[in-house]
Amino acid sequence: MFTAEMARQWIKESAKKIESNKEQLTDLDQVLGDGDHGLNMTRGFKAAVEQLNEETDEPGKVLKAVGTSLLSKIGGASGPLYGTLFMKAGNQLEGTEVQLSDLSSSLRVGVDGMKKRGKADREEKTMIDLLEPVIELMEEKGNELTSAHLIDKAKEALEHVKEYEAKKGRAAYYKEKSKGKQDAGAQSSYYLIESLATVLDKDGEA
Amino acid sequence: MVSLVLVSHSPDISKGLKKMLDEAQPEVTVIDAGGTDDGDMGTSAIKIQTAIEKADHGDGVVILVDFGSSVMNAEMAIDLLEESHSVKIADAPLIEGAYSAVMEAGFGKSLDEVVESAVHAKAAKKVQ
Repeated sequence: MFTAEMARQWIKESAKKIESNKEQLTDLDQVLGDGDHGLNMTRGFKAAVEQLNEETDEPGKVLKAVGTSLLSKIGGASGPLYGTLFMKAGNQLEGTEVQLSDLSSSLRVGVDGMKKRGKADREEKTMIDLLEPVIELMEEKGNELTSAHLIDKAKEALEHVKEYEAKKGRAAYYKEKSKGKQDAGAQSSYYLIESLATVLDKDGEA
Repeated sequence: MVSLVLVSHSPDISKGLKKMLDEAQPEVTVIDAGGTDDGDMGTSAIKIQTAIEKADHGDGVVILVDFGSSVMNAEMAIDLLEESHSVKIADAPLIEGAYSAVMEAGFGKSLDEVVESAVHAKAAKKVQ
């Protein structure tokens, strides 16, 4: 099961992780971007937590509202991208009875929306390189998904992203010089997955 | 009459550009949607969405953008519109495109003609 309370915990945990790694995200973004990712993500997730829908029993409604908060508060390109991920996924999830396999299919719709929004594909050194491999694994594992699956795949993806040459955003100006440096968006996506793993652990389904 | 929405990462750029366009064609509605909701450096889909709704008098809206997340947020803003509006993002340089667009809009041209004039500004030679 993936409940509305788990969805809320996921966002609270993500906000905590992002805030405690604010400086790392900013430092990464200073190398290949404009250095505002840590601040933007912290502001966006703080707003998402403040505006969380605490009333509903439907995880889809929780995630959709999170998307709207992120869209209006993150700013930059990460706002519409993370906003699209959560809004699309939230729209896809119906009702209160949601299984992990439903969460996987909704995140698939979310990440496809992000790819379309950012006109991005795999191996372009973006958040897609972190999220899509993890979501593929989630789809494969279905209701058997564990937190260890999520963490292992996310760590592996993070290592791969580092080696790619940036093709999107301001990082693309660095061309081959971007190789070997971490992408700030992939790093923040890693924290989202790590937070989801924490929530699954707490739920005892892991 | 077609209206314009200006989207720049820098709220100062879109503000200054609006002033220049207002002097050129005072009767055209030009809305500055530059910067974030808090007026910082960046762009905001919500701010652009509100600007489109406010700008449209029924003849449509052309959005002029700088780069990167301006385009992404302008596209997202169009997707967020609840009522139907004729809106186009001009594939044009922000300043030169907006200037051509405001002139044509002021002459009462259609949305497609206004967009086309903005796109043409891309090819204008500055140094012969």
